[in-house]
Amino acid sequence: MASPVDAGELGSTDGLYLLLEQEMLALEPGTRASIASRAPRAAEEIASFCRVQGHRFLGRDPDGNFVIERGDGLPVAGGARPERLAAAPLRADPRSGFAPRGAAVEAGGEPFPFDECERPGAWADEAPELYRQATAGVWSVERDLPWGELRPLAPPLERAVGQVMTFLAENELSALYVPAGHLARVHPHYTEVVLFLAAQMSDEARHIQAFTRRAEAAGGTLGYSTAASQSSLKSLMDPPDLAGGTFLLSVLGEGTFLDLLKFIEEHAPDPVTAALAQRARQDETRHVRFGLSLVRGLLQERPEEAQRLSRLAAARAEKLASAGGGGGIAGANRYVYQSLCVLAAGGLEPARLPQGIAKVQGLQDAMHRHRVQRLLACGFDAHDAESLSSGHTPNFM
Amino acid sequence: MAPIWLGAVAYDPKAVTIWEAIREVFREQRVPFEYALLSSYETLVEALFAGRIDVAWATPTAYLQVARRCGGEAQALGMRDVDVGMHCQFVVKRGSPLSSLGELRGKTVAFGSRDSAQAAILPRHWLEAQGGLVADKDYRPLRFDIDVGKHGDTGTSELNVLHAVASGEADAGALCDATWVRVVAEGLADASACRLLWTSPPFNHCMFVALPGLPAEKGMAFRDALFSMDFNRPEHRRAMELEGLRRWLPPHLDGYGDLRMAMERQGYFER
Ligand SMILES: [Fe+2]
Ligand SMILES: [Fe+2]
Repeated sequence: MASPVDAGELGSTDGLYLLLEQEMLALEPGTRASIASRAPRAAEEIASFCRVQGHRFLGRDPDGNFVIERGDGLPVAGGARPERLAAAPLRADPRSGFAPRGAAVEAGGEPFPFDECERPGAWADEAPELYRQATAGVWSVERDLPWGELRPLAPPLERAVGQVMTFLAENELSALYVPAGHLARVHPHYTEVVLFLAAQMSDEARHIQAFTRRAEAAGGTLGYSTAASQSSLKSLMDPPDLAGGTFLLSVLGEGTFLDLLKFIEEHAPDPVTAALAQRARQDETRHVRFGLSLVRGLLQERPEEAQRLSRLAAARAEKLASAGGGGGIAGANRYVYQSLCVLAAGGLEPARLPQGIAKVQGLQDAMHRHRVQRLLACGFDAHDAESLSSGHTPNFM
Repeated sequence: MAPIWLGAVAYDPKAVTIWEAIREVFREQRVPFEYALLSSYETLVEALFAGRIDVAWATPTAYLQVARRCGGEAQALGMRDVDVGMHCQFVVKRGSPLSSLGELRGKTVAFGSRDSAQAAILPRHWLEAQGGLVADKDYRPLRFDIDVGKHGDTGTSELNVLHAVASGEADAGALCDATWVRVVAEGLADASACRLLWTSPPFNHCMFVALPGLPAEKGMAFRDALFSMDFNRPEHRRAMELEGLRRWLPPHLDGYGDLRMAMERQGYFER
């Protein structure tokens, strides 16, 4: 036992109880502390303290010091043991509220309305690393895009850019709102997932700012937003759970966007469009990796969830088809399709248009191929991956 | 076996949480268990004698009333670890020159609810037995009869006692050491303004009690299930923390003599 703790002449309200409680907090249950006190009522006050706080009062040692054996729990704190909660827990208790993971949580709290309380579906192994990357590489719309190099474009190209930016911005808004809807439902003990979602939302905010600004930065305007695009984006808000929402948004939607952004970067008619497509794609790559990690983790733990996710995607496809979305890229937003062709053709010159159309076809093929690869990487079988990808919305997202 | 019916007083909304959790433990032990929450210890005792409940979770005064009514044959079944060796205390304002019970002659002394063993019945008894002071004759009692029927369980009246002492309305005040340890640890301002004057000899507090006719099978099943509760098992710990104990103990019947005497002298059994 360490040398005695000097309690001087302190009475309970002079600090004796504070001192005792702090000493006990620092001890392991079952170990002892000796207290040197010259206070007149020390014996009775220490005895009461020990009984009420659950420690053993062992009387005085030969030197006249009071000996206390630390009990196995302070009466108010406890339940959650820090060492057990160092990592994302298999199950999280909604009664721990906003207590950070690792804190000792007092029993008896009210349950919070968190309904993502189980690791499969609420956790992604890559979330801590992806969050680190997200915050390490934050770029600025003002500072990091070459706005000063922007020159007026030929009207068909500027119109195409404005239309593509409109489409990108509406998709980015959905990518902001969908995780926003899930975030508040995820138990805070899946901390890095929550932080990642917040970083993702901040990424999307930047994208929205960049795309809308580019649309108007060279004398053009925002373009056309179709009802079909809106219903496609609205259906991303249907899944009630994080895994379902992330599957549709990040694995299928943002995954498909990686190819789209690469295509826009390659065929950008100006340096700002190229730079922002490239920056956005870097951010989206993280969002997609997060989605893959979360869905892969879920399917590893609960392979039967593959069916539910497939049904979610199928239900979405059916709903969009019956809403008159039609098939093929033109069924979604023909102006987006045409604008992509114009960008790929470098304008409306008849000699180059067929080449632009062929390139967009190549884009669609690449999107499908890569979607299948990502679905396989999540843990879907080849047949499901093929049919899920084929049924994906012509709106890309 | 027919369910064991437990009766307890709903002194706080958390009573539901506690008894639901304990019911879970009994279920785990395959002991059929139901509970009824009543609004006062008087109705709790009546419910026990009317056979509406098998076991009452009783304050020491309720326990002694049950024991008295069945001629000392009541069956005590178990109690909380913190309730063994409880003390009542008198506190005075920090800086008060008072140093013994006898010096409270002619002073104002604050007490909790009149049916609280720890904050009224026993303190009054000790003032007389050890300080030689009789209420209204040798000192002015200032009573906070709050939540009468709950036997002081809510603790509200003890907070009023501390406030009366801290504000100078009373020269001294009576409360239970469990309350004192808690409010001092929490830094309650009225507590910080006070200091301990005197600590009573120990007494024991709440008890699970049944009538002599409780079938042995039920009594045994009740004790076995109760004592299976383990503070180190998370599914048990919450209820135990809320109920404020770490271990259920077998009945310690030795700590009720002073209270019995106090209740007799104060006419408590005639009410
Ligand atoms: Fe984005
Ligand atoms: Fe994104």
